[in-house]
Amino acid sequence: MSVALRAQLLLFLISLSSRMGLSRYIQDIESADGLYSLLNLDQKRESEDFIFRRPLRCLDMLATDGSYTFVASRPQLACAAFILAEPSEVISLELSDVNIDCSAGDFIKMFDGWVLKGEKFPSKQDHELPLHQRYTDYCSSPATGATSRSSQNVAMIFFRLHSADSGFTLAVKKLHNPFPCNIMSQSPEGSFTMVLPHQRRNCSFSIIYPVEIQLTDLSLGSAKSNELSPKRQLLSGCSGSGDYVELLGGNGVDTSLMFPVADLCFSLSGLAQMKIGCDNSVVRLVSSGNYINRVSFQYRLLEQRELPKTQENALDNFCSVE
Amino acid sequence: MKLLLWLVVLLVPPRPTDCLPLLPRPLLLHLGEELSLRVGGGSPASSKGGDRALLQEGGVEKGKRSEEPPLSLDLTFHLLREVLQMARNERLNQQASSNRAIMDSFGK
Repeated sequence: MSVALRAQLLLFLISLSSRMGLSRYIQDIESADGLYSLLNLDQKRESEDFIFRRPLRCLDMLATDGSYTFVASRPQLACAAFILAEPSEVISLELSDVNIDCSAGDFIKMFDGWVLKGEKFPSKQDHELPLHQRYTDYCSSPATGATSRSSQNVAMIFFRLHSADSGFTLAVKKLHNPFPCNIMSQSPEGSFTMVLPHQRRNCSFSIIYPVEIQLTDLSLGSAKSNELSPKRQLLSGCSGSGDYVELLGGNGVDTSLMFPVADLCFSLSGLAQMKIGCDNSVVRLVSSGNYINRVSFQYRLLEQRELPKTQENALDNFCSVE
Repeated sequence: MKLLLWLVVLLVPPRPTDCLPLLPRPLLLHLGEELSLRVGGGSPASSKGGDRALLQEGGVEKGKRSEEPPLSLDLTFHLLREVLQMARNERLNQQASSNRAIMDSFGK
């Protein structure tokens, strides 16, 4: 058999064997489904019929997907419900079975964020939408005012009902958010990594507890040179830098009204920690959009004995920091 | 055990539209409400176990006319954390119920 014939035969055999070989397939591992992924189709269909339902209270906090129905037993003039999801989720709200009288002064308004004592989270500086666009008023337009989607993991609904037996149903659903920005922590302990990939925006991670925060990793875009311009020398801290992380402490939810306790302008590979004895402790990432910025941190609740001591005779109305 | 909660809400009425009547000037409402918040949801009459007394304080503040959009809820951080903890417990209980239902399905 000639060499050319052998080569042709060899190539023919190789082509045959490739068709018989096992091909790699993409295994869709949806670990997030957990036990749900082990169900068959009928079982899945049966489980999807189950929706968590309960009455909505005049003052309420909702952290579970489901359907909440409010029926006024008497005039309810000042009601609100906070809605909270996981850090990497946003909230979808939908009103149905609405039985209110807008002309009598009833209203249902959904807000993209939280409002507490007049302060808003996220602040005006940190939210992408102007303030008036963060409110969705059902009475202004029942068609479009019945649904709302938050930009972060918190949302709120305000409602006023003058008549007994008026009410509505609120459906809460959480959706995945791949690049969360502006997060309200559900717990006083945990860890998180905030990533801003080429986004010119400011993102805050708010913890409504006094905590010790440990920055474990910080990757920021660097300046082109280390020379300080005269203007920059006049500025304190990192405010002259393009991208930086700041730690804030305060007794409200508006980050623009909180006190900066520390800021970091340079990438960090070690550990930096601070105790913030305030009602609200915030890690805020300021990003120019020129770089991919990342900050990782851990936090834990401060016990009473660990709270930093306040300075005696201090004039500053500031919570303790250490 | 039910505790009395003073809920202060600063309300500034929206600008009147063609359909809405003129609303009163900005004012502070001091509302006293008896609230019974229970872990695990459900109606108060049907909840099992004892009530959980969570509301131990309330903020009563003097108001001021606000230039900002009208709605706000005056709630102390302490109360906010309490309702947050209740919501977290509810979510965990719901997740446990859901897992139990799924596990029961495996047995069918």
